[in-house]
Amino acid sequence: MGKVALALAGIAKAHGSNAVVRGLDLEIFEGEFFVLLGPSGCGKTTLLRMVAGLSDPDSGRIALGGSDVTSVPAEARNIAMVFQDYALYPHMTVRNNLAFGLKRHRVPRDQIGGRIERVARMLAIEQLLDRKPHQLSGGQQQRVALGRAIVREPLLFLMDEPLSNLDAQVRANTRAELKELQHRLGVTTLYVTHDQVEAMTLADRLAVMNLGRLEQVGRPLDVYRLPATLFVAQFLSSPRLNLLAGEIAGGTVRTPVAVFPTGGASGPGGPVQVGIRPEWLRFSPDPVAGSLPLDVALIEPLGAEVLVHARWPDGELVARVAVDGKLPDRGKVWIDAAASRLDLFDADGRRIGSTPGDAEPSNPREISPPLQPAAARGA
Amino acid sequence: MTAVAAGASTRARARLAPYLYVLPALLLLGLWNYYPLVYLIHLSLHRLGASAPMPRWVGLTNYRELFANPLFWRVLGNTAIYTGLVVPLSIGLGLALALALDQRLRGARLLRTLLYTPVVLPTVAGATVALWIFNTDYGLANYLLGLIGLPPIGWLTDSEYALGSLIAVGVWKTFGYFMLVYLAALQSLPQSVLEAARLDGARPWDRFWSVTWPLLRPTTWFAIVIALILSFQAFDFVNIMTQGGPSNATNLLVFYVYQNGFQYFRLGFAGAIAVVMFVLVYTLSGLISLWYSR
Repeated sequence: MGKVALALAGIAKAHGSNAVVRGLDLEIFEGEFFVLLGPSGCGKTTLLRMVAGLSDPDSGRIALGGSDVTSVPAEARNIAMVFQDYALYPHMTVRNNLAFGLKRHRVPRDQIGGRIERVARMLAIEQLLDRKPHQLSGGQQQRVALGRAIVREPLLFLMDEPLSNLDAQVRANTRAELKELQHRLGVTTLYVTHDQVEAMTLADRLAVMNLGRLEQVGRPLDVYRLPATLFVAQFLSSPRLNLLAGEIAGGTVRTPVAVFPTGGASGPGGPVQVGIRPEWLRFSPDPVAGSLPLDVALIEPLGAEVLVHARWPDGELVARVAVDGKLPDRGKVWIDAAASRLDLFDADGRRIGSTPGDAEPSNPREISPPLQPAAARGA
Repeated sequence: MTAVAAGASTRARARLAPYLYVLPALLLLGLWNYYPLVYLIHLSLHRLGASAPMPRWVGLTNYRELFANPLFWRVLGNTAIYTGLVVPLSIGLGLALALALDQRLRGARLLRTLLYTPVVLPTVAGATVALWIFNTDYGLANYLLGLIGLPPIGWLTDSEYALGSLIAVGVWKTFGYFMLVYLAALQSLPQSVLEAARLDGARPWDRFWSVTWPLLRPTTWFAIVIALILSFQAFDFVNIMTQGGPSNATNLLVFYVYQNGFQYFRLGFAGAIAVVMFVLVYTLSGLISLWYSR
């Protein structure tokens, strides 16, 4: 990794008696696309606003490009931000929206026009330059907001859920463009979202945040494969993580529905929390020794995959199954304990280890299943 | 009735409904506003009053006399000065205080209430207090001047100061209203836009002039129109505090109408003044709206 672009040390912030950010350390490297992922209320936006200088931390230091900016006001930090509601200047044309920051950063007048043209071309908004924000669609406003940040050539981009107000199709396109654009420009980016797909697809590295703390920092696939806490596993699971109470004893993990082999994953023994990702849970149509018969309650087709909901008297499990795999009928299924992969957590939700299962975590095929099967073949 | 005809009559009723809804309001306005206005114009073309108990058609004579009367021009000048100062001062003061109170300030609620008090205070009570403050012999204003060793001023009795005193009272009475209007507008401004301006490097004054002020434009337009109408209507303070004196230094248009209509009983002439005033207010409001929609 390169030089540290943004360093946060011991950042804490409370609103009244409610601690929002609790003593947080983080380093982001130059050129990195870093995503802060967490549920609403976890403090991620508060943290972003402190980096921007829009709000002051109660304690801790913020360093930007090696210099301490903790007490530097927002207007002097040379940071650009894309807001969730875009926050374009409603009374100015797109051109003036882009020029606003340049003028204030004393960019020579004869260069402003050229820079605006260049960015407008990059974002394909040239034909919008003389319009006002209310004459633009949501997607266009979003591009202008992005352009206003890019044209400044700041030290750091901050993005606060910039895609959340777009409809699904535009969001997916913009997401891909955003990633490409960021790599091309190479500007360090701190991006806040509650959307795990956005986080996984955009991030060079991401941090999962919960209750004002960072639960885990790492590359998206590493965090996905080896969640450090139960919270991370749950938050990065779609649909929700299957959670079972279990007990490690004699090379097995016993749960109410099945007995899983630990596959050598050693633990101290005793009670554990067992998390099984829907894509790592395997059902068998035939009885499996030690497994309880489950009733298939619901099958939800997603396209290339289906979600199979299976119930026993005390709960329900969900498996994500490729369509070309064996589809269980509505009837009974059993957990294929040897093929399923488990994440094990202690009582406090800290990771103990994983069982190997079929789904070898280093095998990318398993981590992002190919989407071509049924649909493509059918066509 | 056929289905088509029934559909047509339903549509006709639907088209008519909105007009029926506003009809009662229109009728009341007609009785209290539009009929008097038409009658006023009618009146201004007649002689009626002490010298002519029955209305007598005189054409534009009242207007000719009015425009030839130096006192009318004096009163118009007074009104122009009064309006020209009260409108920007009350709006400006209201905006400045709104900006101050918009900060997260300890005691902002209390301050807001205190500053709004003059608006809800009955005019007579306010005028009485103002009379006491501006009294030449025992008023607070002269007492304060005395403290710093300055001679007393005839705040309401010296023709050089009387209009100024009236303007001060006019501002005092109305700024609270504009403060509240601006405060409401400021609190509904999109915060993220102001924050975007901060991150774009705009410092407080710059942010105010390049973002806040333009975004307040609809509010400012509203405030100016209201302030203009209020100040043209200024009557109570004149009537209670100065009676237009000394030597017409504080005689404003509405008081001038009142004098002619109900003291000298020259109803036709008073009507002509009122019509001129109406045209003035209407034109000025129109010009401001034109500026706004530009």
